Amino acid sequence: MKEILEKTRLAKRYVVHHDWTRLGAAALVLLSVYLAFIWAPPINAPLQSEFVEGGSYFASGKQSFTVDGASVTGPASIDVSSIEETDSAYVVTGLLGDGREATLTVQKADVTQVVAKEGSGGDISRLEIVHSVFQGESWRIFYFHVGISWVMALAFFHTFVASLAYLRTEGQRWDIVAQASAEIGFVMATLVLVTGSIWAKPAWGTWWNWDPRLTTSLVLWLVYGGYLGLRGEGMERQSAVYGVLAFASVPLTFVSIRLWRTVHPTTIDSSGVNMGSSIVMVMLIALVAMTFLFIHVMSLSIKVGLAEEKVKEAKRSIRE
Amino acid sequence: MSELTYLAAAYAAIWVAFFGYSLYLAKRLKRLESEVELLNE
Repeated sequence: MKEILEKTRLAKRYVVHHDWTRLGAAALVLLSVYLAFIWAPPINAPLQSEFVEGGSYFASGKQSFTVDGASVTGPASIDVSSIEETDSAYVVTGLLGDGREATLTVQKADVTQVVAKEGSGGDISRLEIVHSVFQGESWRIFYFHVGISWVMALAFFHTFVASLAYLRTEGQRWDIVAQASAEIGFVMATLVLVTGSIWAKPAWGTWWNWDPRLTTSLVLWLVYGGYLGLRGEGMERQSAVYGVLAFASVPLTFVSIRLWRTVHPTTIDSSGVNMGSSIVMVMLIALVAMTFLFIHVMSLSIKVGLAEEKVKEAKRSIRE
Repeated sequence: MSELTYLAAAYAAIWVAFFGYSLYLAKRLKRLESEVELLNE
């Protein structure tokens, strides 16, 4: 009896009182779905663009440009031939793959950051800007995409802490927490890739590209897939070492959009939060809703781990 | 496909995964609990 009580102490620490976690999660999820689908407007989101004379620019599915006097929407690749600055806009001219001339105009009012390098003839040879682009309905994926990314990081952080604790104490309960959180983190990492990919199709015209954020996310998914593959009878110590080392890929994924140039939207950067207050509010509610869901699923997963441990012990004692 | 179709697909994927994983855990727990009872007997 004493042993069983000891084993369930950890589960209680994770708030296994399902009534309020279930109720809280359900209420918050409903509220955030309502807000994300109905209340929040489609928004403008920041986009980093780099135009280089003689280089190629990828116009996303959310950007418009002019071809033969008509407005055309991306995605399309433009071979940039000139970059000009007027009083109110930056005008980028270039050729599409089929040889037609395209003109992309970015209003200065939409630009929040700009770095321009002058060419030999007085025009601009290189232009790096952060500008807001209207995102349309598919942007609403963002509210839950960010929420599940947060839960993924939270779960892998639990794996990291529990692995460290296992290496220090060799307590079986920490191994159970590490496995439970890694499983949840892996499901979330899969969802991050799937929802991101679904958003990328209308935005970038492709399901996937090797952007730094996407690539590091895929590496993260593979790293924790490896962790789950490694786990097994007698592999607790090796799994714990792996669980500690694997965590390095989590912060790397998050800072990748600051370390390297990316087409991934940068909603938070050195200049602050690039979103309106209503967007931030809905996103925060979605984050809390996802955190409640995480607590619920985590507690369930730990209970499964503890029950598996009890079964193993019972079988051992019968054999003895 | 319209933007709303992509939106619906993404939301469906999230909830299917969440409920699917919860159901999978609940099933595992139920199976284990009955195994414990059997072993106790």
